[in-house]
Amino acid sequence: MKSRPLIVARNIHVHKKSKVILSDINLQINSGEIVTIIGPNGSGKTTLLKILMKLEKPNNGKIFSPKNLKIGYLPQKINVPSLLPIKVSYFLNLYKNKQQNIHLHNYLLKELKIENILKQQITSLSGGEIQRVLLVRAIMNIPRILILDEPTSSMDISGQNKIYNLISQISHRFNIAVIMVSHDLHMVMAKSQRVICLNRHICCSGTPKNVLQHPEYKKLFTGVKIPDTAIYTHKHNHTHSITNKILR
Amino acid sequence: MIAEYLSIFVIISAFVMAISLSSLGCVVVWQKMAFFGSALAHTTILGIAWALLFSYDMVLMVITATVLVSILLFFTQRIPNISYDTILGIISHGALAIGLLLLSIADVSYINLNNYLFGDILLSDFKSTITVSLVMVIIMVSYIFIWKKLILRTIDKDLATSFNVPTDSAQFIFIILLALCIAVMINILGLLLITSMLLLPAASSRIVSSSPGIMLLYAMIFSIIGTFSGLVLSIIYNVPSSVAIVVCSFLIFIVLHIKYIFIRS
Repeated sequence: MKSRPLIVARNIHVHKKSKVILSDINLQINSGEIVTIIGPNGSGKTTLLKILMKLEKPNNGKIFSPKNLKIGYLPQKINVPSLLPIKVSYFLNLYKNKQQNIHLHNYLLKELKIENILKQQITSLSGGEIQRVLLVRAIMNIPRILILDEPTSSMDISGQNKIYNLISQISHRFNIAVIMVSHDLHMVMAKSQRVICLNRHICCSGTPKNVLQHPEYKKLFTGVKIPDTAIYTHKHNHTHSITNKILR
Repeated sequence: MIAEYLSIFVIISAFVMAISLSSLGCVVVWQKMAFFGSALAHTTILGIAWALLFSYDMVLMVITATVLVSILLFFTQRIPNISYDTILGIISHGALAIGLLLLSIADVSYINLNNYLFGDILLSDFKSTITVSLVMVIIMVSYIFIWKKLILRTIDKDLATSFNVPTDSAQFIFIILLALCIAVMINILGLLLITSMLLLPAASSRIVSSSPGIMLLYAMIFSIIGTFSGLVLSIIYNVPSSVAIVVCSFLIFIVLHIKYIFIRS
């Protein structure tokens, strides 16, 4: 499938009260690709996502994206006031649109184990349950791009692995681009075609393997043990030479 | 005796007041705007003072005051290091003090200040009833268009915007409706008590509701029960109507939440 740019960021600069949040951000997201943004806490990950979605305006620079680009956004958390009575099914219905694919919707409810909590109030759900509901909401209308802000931060390892598999499978099936933000290094690496290492600026970017070897990355995450367990279940479509060049 | 006081205008005004305030009240409690409502209620006294000082039309001046203040609050940037509820509290009581000051300077001894502080529904006449009814119709018609957007905004503003549903205009319309409603209902409930009829029915209905629409419906029902029982009791025992209405609504809230108040889980 031909890939076209969906979102292009040019020279993005953001500061709040003379504190620099983001500087010199240039990046392009193409249709169908999975991009992971990693960085420590306070590195401007969430701000960057909001700027890419045009929810916030940068102090400098510009975002180029098609008008009415269909975005599936999964925020880090939502604060539904406890005075608002709202069931999971009602919540999902609010965001339904004409393009919704009923088969995909039912598939997601089953895969993410939402079926048995449909009648529960949103405010009574656990953190992991809310994230799963938000994920269904983000995917169900088949957006052009999924923007996921720490989608698995309240889940256990096996749950996380399942979610990542599901996301990459759906991205592939419907040609949905994915931008995922995480401070969880090893899990996200496996599924992404491109990793961007962010710490107020783009430290380094490239394929997961390349980023792992990058000195900037190592500097940023020194002391972090990167496990090499069964989580890396993907098959490489290329190999690397001794000098770390990609051989296809 | 009751029928003597309860003219058709009083009955219609009470009904309209109950429906309008409770329906706006649901969104007020969802969006934690209790202080906002009370700030608007208190600024009505500026309009009242202005109208009395320069003999303008009272209703028009009060509407002008509340709508101007609500627009001001909607567009004002946050002041650094002062939280929003503090700002609202300052505006609320600042406006009340300035209004009372103006009234005492003007020496309008012929007016009964209690009528503005506590209202009097029994004074409803043809003109006031038409005015409040018109406002209720405006609220209901607007709600058809902004209801869903207000719910989306209550859940998460960014989520709504990313779904290509901007909610700022709906929120602006809601705030204007609130200002309008408070301005015209002030003669019925008074500026000190009007906020309670925004909050009490909505808060009472939460416990028996499972969806936003049902909560709206129950809020209206509780509001009507509280209003009419208060009205009748106030005539029987000869106490101020607005006070009796609020006490009855308060009792409804207490009865519904009695098991949480007296029994520890």
